[in-house]
Amino acid sequence: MRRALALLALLLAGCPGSLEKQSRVSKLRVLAVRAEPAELVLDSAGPLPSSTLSALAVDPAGATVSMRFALCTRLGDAPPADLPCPGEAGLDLPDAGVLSARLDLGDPRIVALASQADAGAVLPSLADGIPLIVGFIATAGAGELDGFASITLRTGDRGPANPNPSLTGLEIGNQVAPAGGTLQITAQTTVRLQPLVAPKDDPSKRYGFSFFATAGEISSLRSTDTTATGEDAPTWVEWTSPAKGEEVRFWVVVRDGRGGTDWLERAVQVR
Amino acid sequence: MRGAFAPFCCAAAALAQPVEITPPRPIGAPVLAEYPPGVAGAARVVLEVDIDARGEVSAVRVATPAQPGFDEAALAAARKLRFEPALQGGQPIAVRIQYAFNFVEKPPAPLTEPSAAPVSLAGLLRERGTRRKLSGIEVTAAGQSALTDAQGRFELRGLPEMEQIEVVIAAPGYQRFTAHETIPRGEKLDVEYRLQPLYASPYEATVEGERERREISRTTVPIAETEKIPGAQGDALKIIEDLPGVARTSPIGGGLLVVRGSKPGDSLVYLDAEPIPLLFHFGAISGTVNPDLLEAIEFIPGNFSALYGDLTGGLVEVRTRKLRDEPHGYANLNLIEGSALVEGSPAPGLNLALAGRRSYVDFILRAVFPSGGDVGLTVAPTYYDAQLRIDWRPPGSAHQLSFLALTSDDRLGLLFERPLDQDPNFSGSVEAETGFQQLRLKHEWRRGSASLTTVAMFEKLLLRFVVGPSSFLLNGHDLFLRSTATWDASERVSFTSGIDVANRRLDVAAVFRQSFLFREGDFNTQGPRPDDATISLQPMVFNRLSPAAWAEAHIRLMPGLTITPGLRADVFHYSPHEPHTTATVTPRLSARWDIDDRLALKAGLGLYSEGARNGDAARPFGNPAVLPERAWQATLGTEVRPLAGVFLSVEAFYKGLSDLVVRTSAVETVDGAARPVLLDNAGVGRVFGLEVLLRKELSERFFGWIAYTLSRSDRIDRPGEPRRLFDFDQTHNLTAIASYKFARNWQLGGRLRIITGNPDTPISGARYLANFDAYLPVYGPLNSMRVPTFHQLDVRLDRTWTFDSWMLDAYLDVLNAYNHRALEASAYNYDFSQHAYFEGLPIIPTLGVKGSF
Repeated sequence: MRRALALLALLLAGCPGSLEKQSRVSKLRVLAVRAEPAELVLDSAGPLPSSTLSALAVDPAGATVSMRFALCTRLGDAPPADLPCPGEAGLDLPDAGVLSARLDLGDPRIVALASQADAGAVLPSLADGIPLIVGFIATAGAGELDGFASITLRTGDRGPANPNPSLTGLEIGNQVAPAGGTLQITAQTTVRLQPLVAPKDDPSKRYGFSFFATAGEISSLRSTDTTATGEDAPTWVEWTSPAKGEEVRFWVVVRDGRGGTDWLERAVQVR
Repeated sequence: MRGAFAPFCCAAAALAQPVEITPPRPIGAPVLAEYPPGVAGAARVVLEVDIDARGEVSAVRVATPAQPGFDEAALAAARKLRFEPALQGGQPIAVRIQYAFNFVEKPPAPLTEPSAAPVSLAGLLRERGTRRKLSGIEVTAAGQSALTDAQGRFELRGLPEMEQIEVVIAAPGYQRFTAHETIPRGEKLDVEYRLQPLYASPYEATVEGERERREISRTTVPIAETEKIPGAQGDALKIIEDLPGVARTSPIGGGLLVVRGSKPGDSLVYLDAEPIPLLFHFGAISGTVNPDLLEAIEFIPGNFSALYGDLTGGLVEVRTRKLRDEPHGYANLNLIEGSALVEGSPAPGLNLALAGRRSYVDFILRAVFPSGGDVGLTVAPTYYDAQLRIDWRPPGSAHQLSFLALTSDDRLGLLFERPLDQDPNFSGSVEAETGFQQLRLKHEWRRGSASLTTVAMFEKLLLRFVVGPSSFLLNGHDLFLRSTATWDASERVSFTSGIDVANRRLDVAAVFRQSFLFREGDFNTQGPRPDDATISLQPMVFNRLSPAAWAEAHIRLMPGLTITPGLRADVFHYSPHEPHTTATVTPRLSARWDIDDRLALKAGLGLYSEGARNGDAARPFGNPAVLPERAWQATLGTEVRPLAGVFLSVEAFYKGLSDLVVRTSAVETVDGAARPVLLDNAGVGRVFGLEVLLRKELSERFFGWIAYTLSRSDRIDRPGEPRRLFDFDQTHNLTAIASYKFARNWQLGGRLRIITGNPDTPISGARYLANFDAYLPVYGPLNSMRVPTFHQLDVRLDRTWTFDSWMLDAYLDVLNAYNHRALEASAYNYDFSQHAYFEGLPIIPTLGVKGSF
C-alpha cells in the first residue's frame, strides 16, 4: 500500500505535462468498439448467437480507415499484450459493413474451435459469462493501430442480452450541438461538454463517458455518473477552445461497464 | 495508474534477541591522572577504552587531538581503571567506552586523604542546558581543590570564613567558570554551579557501549550521530537508507527496506529485538517511534546470528536507550508535525517515559486544498504515534522488568469524482489507514554465569484501504514470545539458545485484481491492467504459526580469534484453510579474528530461510503448496582502525537464492474443477558485491561517514527464462555524511547521495483495450534498462542556545539543496508512444525549533 500511495503522489504531483493527452485526437485512433447486441446469449431452443462489431475509428488527417477483426483463440480475460490476434492466434471475422464485422458462433471455424475447448473449465462459467476476446487492427494510410475488445458469452439465466446505452446528444456551452451541424465558439473560451443519454434500462448501471477532440484542451478524459465507490458525480467536463480559428471535431463515448457502448460525433467552429 | 498493494505486506515479521546493554561501571578507588611535568594549563583528554568481559581494560586510545604530555598521563591512568563489566541480556560482554581525564594546572589533592578541617563549601556541578551532573571536574577556591564525584558533588574544606573567595572551575570543553562566595562563620555553604559547554550537544555521551560483535557485518550508529543528519529532519530512522548495502527505495518503493539486493519483505526492522510492522508514517515522512527514546541503530546486512530467522535478507535493530533518573523532556515543532517527551524516576528503581507526536499537515492542507477540482480531500493526511515505557528494577534484585507500549496511526482520504485517465476503473474514494499497537513485556534475570531473558508481545495491526473499486481490510492480532538463555561455560566458551515463537492471526476481506498484488518484478512496470478480473474475498481468517528453536556457541580458539557456530530450526504452520506445515533447518558459522587493536578479519557462511508470507501461502492470494525461500549467504571482510575514532570496514558478500516464490500461469484441476496455481518456487537468484564504510565517530566537533556499495542482484524467475535484474538493483550507491560543530553553538552538516538509477522495463508498443478505453503496454525484457543516476545534496544548519535548565535548538533542514529534480521512474503518454520521467521533489527547506530540558 505504501507503494500505491507513493505512486499516487507521483501521479498527482509529478506527472510530466509534456506528454500527449488521450483526449486529443491527432492521429489514427480507435475510440470505441460496439457490439450489437452487446452480449452473446445462448438459447438452447435457437441457433447459436451472433453479434455485429463496429469500431469508432477516426483519422483526423482524413485518410480512409479500414478495420480487420478476428476472434482470438485464447479464452478468458486479460489476453497477453503480444497475442498475435488478428494473426495466427485469431480467426478472421467477415466484414459487415464499414468498419464492422460479424461474429457468428455458428461459423464452422468457431464451432470447431469451441469443440477443442476444455468443456470442464468452460461450462461451469457460462452462467456467469465468459469473455470472448476479439482482436482488431485499424489501418489508415501508413498508420496502424491494434487492440482488443471483449464480448461476453453466457447462458440466458440472467435474462436477455444487455442493451447498448443510447447517447442522445452533447451540450457544448449550454447549447445542444446539432448532429451534422456546426456551433460557433469563441477562441480561448472554456465551456462545458455535457453528454445527454436516454434513460437507463437498469438504474444500477454506472455510465462512464470518454471525451475526445481534435483541438483545444479537455479538462478530463473521463467522467462518470457514479463513482466506483458509489458517489454521484458530475458527467460534464470542460473544454478550452484553441487560440486560432478552426473546425474542431468532438467524439463522446459512453460505456455501461457491462459491454454496452454508444458514441456520437459533433463539431464546432472556433472563431 | 501504477498503484498496487501487497496484502499482509506489513504483517510479516519475526522476533529477535534483545540487545539492551548495561554500561560498565567504574569500581575501586577513583583513578586520578598525574599532572604531567613540563606542561602548563588545563587539558581534557578523551580516551577510547576497550573493556573486556571481565571488566579489565584491554586497550586504550586517545580520541581527542594530540596534547603532548597530557595524553601520556591519561593513558597511564586509564590502564589502572577497573570496571564492573558491561552487560547485554545479563551476560558480561566486551565494550568500548569513552572516558575523559581533566587536567588543571595545580595537581588536585588526593580524595583518599580527606582534610581534618570541616567542610566549608559543598556543591553540585551540572552542565547548563542538559542539567547533566558532571564528574571528575576540579573545583578550586582559596588554594583548595576537589574533584566532583560520580554524582557531580564536591566538598572544599578549611576555606577562609567571612571574606569573599573566588571559586574557579576550568574544565576543558566548558567555558571557564568563576563565582564569588562568602563562607559564613562556622557554617557550610551549599551551592550549585552550571558550566556552559563550548559545543552544545544534548547527546554527548560519556559512555557508549558497543555490543560484542557476534555478527560479522554489524554496523552501529549512535543516535547522537543521527539526530542532526541533513535530510532526516531529526528522525534517526531515516538514516537507514544511508548505510552500506541498503538500496534507496523511495519514492517508488515507499520506504521499503531493501538490503543487499533482496526483495522488499526479505529484510525487517526490529525495535529492542521485536519486529515493528511500520517503520515510517506514510512511507517515509517520519518514523513511528520517537527518536529521543532511541540509543542506536544497528544494521546487519547479512550472515546474522541463529537467533534471527524467517528472513533471507538483512535486518535493522533499533535500540531504545536506558531511561534517565533525572527529569527530562523536550518539545519539537516543525512545519509538518509536533512532538514531545517527558521522563523521570518517581521511585528508586522505577523509570518512566512518555512520548508522542502528531502531524498537523492536515490543518494546512484543508486550508489550501483547492475545492471544485477533480480530486477532493475527504480525510486530510494525518498521523500520530505515542510510546510509554516503564522500567522497574528493584534495588539489589537479579530481576528486571520492562514494559513498552507503542501506538501509531496514519489516515488519508481522497475523492476522485472523475476516473483517472490511466484506468477507468479508478474513481471515487481513496482511503487509507494503517496503524498498530504493541504491548511488550520483558523480563531479565541473571545469576552467576547464567541469564535468562524473556520477551512477550501482543500486537494489533490495521491495514485498511480503498482504491476505487478495490479494497483491502486487514485486522491482525499477533502474539510473539522469545526466550533466550545464556551460559558462560568458561572464559573460552559460552552458549546461547532460545525459542522464538510468532503467531499471526489475520482477518482479511478484499476486493482486488491479481495484477494489483505487486511482486518482485512489478515495481518497474506500469501497474495493474484494467481488464484483469476482479476477485471478491469475503472476510476470512488466516493464521501463521512459526515456532523456532535455535542454539549457538561462542568459542574463543585463541586470543582474538572467535568462531560462532549456530543452528536454527523453524516450523511454519498455516491454517485454518487448507492447513499445512513446512519446516527448515539452517546451520550458520561465523569467525572473527582481531589481529590487534587496529585490524580484524571476519568471515561467515550460513543458510537462511523465509516462510511464505504476505498471503503467498493462502488462496486466493497465493498457493498453499509454496515452500520457504532459501538463501546461502557468505561474507568475507576486514575492519581497520587506522586512527583514533576512525573506522574502516570492507566486506565482500555473496548470496545464492533458491526456491524463490514466483507467479505461474499453470492451471491445476481439483475435484474436477480447474483453478490457477498462481505461485510456485521456480525462481533462483544471486546477489554479490562489495561494501565499504569509512566512518569518523562522533567527537566533540565532527562526525561523518562514507558508505559505498558496489553490487549486482539478478535472478531467473523460471527455468529457461533469461536472467534479469532485481527491481532495486543499484550498481553504485554512495552516501557521504559530515557534520561539524562551530563556535557559538552553530552546527552545519551535509549529506550527498549518488546512486545508480533503478532498473526500468522498456515498452515497445501498446494494444488498445476497447472495453476500457485504455492501452495495454507491450513490455520488452524486464528491468533491462535504467532510470538516470540519482544524486542529491541535503544541508542542515543548527543553532543551539543553552540556558540554565534547558536548551533551545533552531534548525534549517534543506532537502535537495541544489534543486536537482531526480528522474524517479518512467512515465508514458496514453498509448505509450511518448516517454518521459516522473520527477522527484524540488528543494524543500524545513524550519524547526526544539526545546529540551
